[in-house]
Amino acid sequence: MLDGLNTYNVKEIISEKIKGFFESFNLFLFQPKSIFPLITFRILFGILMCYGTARFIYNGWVDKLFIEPKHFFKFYGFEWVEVLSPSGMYYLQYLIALVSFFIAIGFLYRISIITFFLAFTYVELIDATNYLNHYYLVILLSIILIFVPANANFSIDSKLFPRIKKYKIPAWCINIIIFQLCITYFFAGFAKLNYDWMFRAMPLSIWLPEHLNIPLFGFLFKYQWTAYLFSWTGAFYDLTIWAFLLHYRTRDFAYIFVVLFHLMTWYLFNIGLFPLIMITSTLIFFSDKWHERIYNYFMNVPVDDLKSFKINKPIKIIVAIYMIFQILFPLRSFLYKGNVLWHEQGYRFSWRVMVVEKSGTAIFRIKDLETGKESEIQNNKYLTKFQEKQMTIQPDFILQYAKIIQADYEKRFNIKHAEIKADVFVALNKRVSSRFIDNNINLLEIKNSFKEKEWILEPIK
Amino acid sequence: MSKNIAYIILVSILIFASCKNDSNSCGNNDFDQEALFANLADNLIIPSFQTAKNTASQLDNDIINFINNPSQANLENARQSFGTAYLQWQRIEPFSFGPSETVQLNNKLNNFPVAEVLLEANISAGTYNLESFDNYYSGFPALDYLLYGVGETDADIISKYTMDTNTEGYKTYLSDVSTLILNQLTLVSDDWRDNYRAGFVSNTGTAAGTSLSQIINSINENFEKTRRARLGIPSGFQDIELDALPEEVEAFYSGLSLQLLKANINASKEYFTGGNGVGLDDLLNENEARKENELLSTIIKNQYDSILSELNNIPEPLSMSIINSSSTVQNAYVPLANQLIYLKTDMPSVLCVSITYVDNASDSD
Repeated sequence: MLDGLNTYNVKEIISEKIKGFFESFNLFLFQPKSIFPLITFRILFGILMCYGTARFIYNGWVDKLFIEPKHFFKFYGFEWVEVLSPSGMYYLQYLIALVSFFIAIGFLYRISIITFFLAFTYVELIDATNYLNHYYLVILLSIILIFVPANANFSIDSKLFPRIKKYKIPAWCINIIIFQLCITYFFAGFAKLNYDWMFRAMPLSIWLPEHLNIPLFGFLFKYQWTAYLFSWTGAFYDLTIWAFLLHYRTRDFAYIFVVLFHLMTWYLFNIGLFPLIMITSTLIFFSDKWHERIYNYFMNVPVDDLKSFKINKPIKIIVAIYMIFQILFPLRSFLYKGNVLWHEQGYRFSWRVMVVEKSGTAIFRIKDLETGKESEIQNNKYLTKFQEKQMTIQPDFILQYAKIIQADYEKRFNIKHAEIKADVFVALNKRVSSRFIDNNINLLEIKNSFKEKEWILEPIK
Repeated sequence: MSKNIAYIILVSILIFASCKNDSNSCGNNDFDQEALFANLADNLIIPSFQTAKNTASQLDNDIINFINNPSQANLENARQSFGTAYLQWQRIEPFSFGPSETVQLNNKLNNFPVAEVLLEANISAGTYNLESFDNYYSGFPALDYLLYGVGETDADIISKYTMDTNTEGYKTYLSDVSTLILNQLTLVSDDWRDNYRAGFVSNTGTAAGTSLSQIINSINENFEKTRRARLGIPSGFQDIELDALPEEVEAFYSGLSLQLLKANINASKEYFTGGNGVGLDDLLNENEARKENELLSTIIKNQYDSILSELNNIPEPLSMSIINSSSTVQNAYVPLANQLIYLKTDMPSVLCVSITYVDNASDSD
């Protein structure tokens, strides 16, 4: 009897809690919120992508990354993606720059953001060698931007079609972006909680002393404690900054840190757009009032336009699935034994930013099983130097490379039954190298999958 | 509050405890980089370029003598000094940065195998640019052909310079190539001594473009070229359908290939050890670089020695042994692969230097 009562109470408490949770989730999604944080986000996103694309073209990376290579590495499931002709690749970049500009000014917004998403994602899928976490972030943000009415104010579209004009939108349109930025920060910090980062100050110990010559502060980088200070501060920053940005009392102060921190990383490291993306995106954490104050210079933002939004079940489910996926997916590396920084299974799409300095040497050999003839592969005949460098340290590329070699030998010399083995040595974070994969295994016999890659060897201690 | 202070103290202790492990540090060790650079510049690089310039000057004299009087004796003299100059070349080819890079010395003077057809076409045409980028009809390989390969016998070769329909063409080409070698070596040698040395010695640190980075990158670039072009490709180890390509060895016509190869490996070793002075080996030791408990510097030095002893087992000339004694060639090729890993992956990792000749900067994250 007593037991029964207790159970009943516990059940009730739990169901109350769950109900409370769902209620706040409803608020999180459908509470009315000013559109202006989203407007700011849209404009800066468009400008930044336009700049990033121009920079990409200007630096000659279209040639280097898409025209020079003869072969490309693919993401699992996207092996079918083919590169365009050289002029096609350039036109595509021009198109991305153009639609980015359209996004910024809010012109033909829906078409522009969909085009941006498709074109940008396509470019990233051509060669997995070029994978960067901030490209992945851009793809995620562009997906979100497709579904939110970011052109519903302060845009050409809303001038042309006044009926689309809005001042309030359901909160999920903004909160989902905030959530994504929190995830990015948190997991970037989480990835730093590894032995090398915390207790060897790696790889910052390698990278910081490269800047001994910068004025005023340069000399600090010669000391090992500077690397420790940077490592621990960096980990703490990434793990917590999102929380300080969320909380209204600490937000202003936190944002100053955001700007300083990312400007510093921009100056010290070769990380492209990432700092700028974070500096501009995090403005979305600021309050409705904060944003509206800016737009009041240009228009009369109505003071109160309270309108509650209907609870929309499909949106609720989709947003929930997206959030759960973003929380769980970066954790998948725990399904594999060993150090993810070494074996790189579950490494990508998990916000592992700046946590390794790795290099290696790979010598591949092919054997014609019918004639017994054997030879070494000249990697530079197939891969650019950048691709070779990346292939050496990423096991799925090693498999794909073996297939590329095989296809070439079959085509050129009609070799049907080949065996490809490789001596691959990799050095991680200032260590001496260790043999990376089993050199007795025929790489052609292995099918790439998400299963544990047993042929990756443990590094020697 | 006191809890916070306790926490800060704890963290500081942790940090300082970790800091004691000095082998993790890339910037703050007591190793005097300038001493290393000065030793390399003053006792290895500058004297080697100086000698190379002198041997090229001797070679140029002997070639002029041969052109003026194409006798057997003068041909022998020219060949003699060609051998000396080419062997000395191996001692400077590894120093491919700085003044060398500015004039593209290695591409101008030692692209092999020589493109016979193009070279002959140049002579017939009488117009050519010996300094054009990445050509294969100039430098030492061209001399190798002109002094040893332009005819079957010595008499045939001499006749090219005495009674061929285009005798003047051959003479001019021979003299032009020799002049180019002398001029370029003079340029680089003087530049090192007069201008480059000071900046080289003081350019400390580990970033791309520092002297340490230049040294490590250039020693690797040379080693990879040696492994690939001086042995791998001609032996057919790098192409399954082609058995062996003896005519692709360095110095095919004179048959100096194996001597040159050994000289190159010796030069690489000396570059690594810094001769009798401070070298990369000492820098590795300073970083306590070990592989399975053995000092990495010792491993690398021993590996150079096993490469050299395997090379000594290959019968002369290399172009014949590639076919007739391929197991001895294979035996020498194996330690070259191991050494590549030590030099290109282990050493740069421990010394915090990136191999930059394989990758121009793009974004990372």
